[in-house]
Amino acid sequence: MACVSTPQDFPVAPTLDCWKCPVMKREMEALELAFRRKTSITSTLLHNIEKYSRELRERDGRYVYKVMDFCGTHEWTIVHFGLRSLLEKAGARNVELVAGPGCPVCVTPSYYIEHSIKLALEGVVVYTYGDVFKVPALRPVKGARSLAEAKALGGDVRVVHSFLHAVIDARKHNKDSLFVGIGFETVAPGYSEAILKGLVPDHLKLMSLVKLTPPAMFYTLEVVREKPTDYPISGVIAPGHVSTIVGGKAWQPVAEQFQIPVVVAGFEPNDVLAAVAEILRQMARGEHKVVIEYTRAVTWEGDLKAQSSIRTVFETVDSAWRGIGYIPKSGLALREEFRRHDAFAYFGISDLTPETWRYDLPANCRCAEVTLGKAKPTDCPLFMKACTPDRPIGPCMVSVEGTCAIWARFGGGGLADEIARAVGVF
Amino acid sequence: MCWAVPSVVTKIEGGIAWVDPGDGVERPAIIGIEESALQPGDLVMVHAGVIIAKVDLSTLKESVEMWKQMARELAASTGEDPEAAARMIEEEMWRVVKIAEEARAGRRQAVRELA
Repeated sequence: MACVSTPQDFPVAPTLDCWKCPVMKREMEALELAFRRKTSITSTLLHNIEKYSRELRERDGRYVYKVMDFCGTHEWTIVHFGLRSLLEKAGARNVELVAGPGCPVCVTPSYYIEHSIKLALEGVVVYTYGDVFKVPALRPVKGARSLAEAKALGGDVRVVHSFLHAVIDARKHNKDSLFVGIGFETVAPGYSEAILKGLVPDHLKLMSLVKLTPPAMFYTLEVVREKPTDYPISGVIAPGHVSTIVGGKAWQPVAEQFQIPVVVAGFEPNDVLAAVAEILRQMARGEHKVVIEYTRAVTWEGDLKAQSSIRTVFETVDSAWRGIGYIPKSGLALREEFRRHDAFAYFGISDLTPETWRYDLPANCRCAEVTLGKAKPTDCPLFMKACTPDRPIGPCMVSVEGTCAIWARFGGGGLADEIARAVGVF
Repeated sequence: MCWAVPSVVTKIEGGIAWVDPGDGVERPAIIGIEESALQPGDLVMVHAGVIIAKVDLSTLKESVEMWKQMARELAASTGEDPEAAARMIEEEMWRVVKIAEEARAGRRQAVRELA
């Protein structure tokens, strides 16, 4: 979430499109270069994948093993590098990579976007990440359907790359301000540490919309399992950077309850291939363990300081996911003692409840099903027809981590697979 | 949710770290992790202005060992020379480890080459 290209001077001209941001571009080039240089490793991994998938095919016949990634950046790696096609070429046709809920912008309810738009039009300075800026709300507010449109109508909406930049900018004025605080566990210590260190001025209020991934993983695996016509998820590639905070231990209950392998992976293509190889190995051997592949950044315990800082400032609450509904204990709200930073309290916004939440995706948009791995972007009637990166309709087409946006920009490896399957190539 | 950029910590002041992702421009970042374990020169992952992990060079080397073992096993199963396969991996990864060490030693430009 949110581009990190941040010129030192602030405020900056907002970088609205992270794909064009120089730091991200350079990162992509470096990744590609590294991938090309490490062909022996890739080849070794693909051979292992072929070996285990063959063993599984010999054992289980035509069964399809679905492996779910839970991070928009993993999905980016998979699509950008064509890993789905690579797996197929390696002979692992019984393995399907499925994208899960890895995009915080995609799952932030329209209700909060609408309230942010309203505040912007009422004169509040609204700080937001670049991808939230463009997310369309379900219902327009005074003619504005997004924060971008609110800005066009005269609202003071400022795109920032981090909470810290909002803090630095807000210190330069005394106007009522709002930070639209979306994100997963990775941004949570940023919010909590800034508050605990007393960096946040009183007139800057945080609307905490932080979501937690382990409860979403439980929910998603249940939902896909309940779909009787489909194969269940057989293995999980767990989010690498969320795991730097929560640790590998956070996924142990998933492996135990669902009896499936979980591999915490890094973001190079070889990291993802290594995760697939390990998941297949465990399945072939009947194991279901949590393994950390991304050892250079992730430990079993995670960062205890970050965990404690988050717990001090936030409490875990039931939380609404856009188009999906309430997932128990899947969100973070500011604790009572930090109420003076709370946007809900200060601006008098009543929070959503299970009773007041309403389905909040546009008609025909299948973002929720795409988020839960129940549908692919290509299954959506709007994908690349009415809904494109330039004119997004649903949130999955907006964020750099939305599955639809990734497939739209880099082509869907899965599309080629589908066509091949439809015409009976394999 | 996870896009993070490898960067070098250049200084820590008043609870804020300044990081350089390799382009020579220092940016402020909130230290999301254990602050006492962090010092200038450390390689970190920065996500949306928050330091979320310190990259550990010794575990990077552990990964190399894991790749090598995998290559050995595979080569053995196909009748090829296991040690030659392991050497090939080592050569590929040596560069990455070397750049990481250089980055840590203060050659900021090296961070650019780290993926």
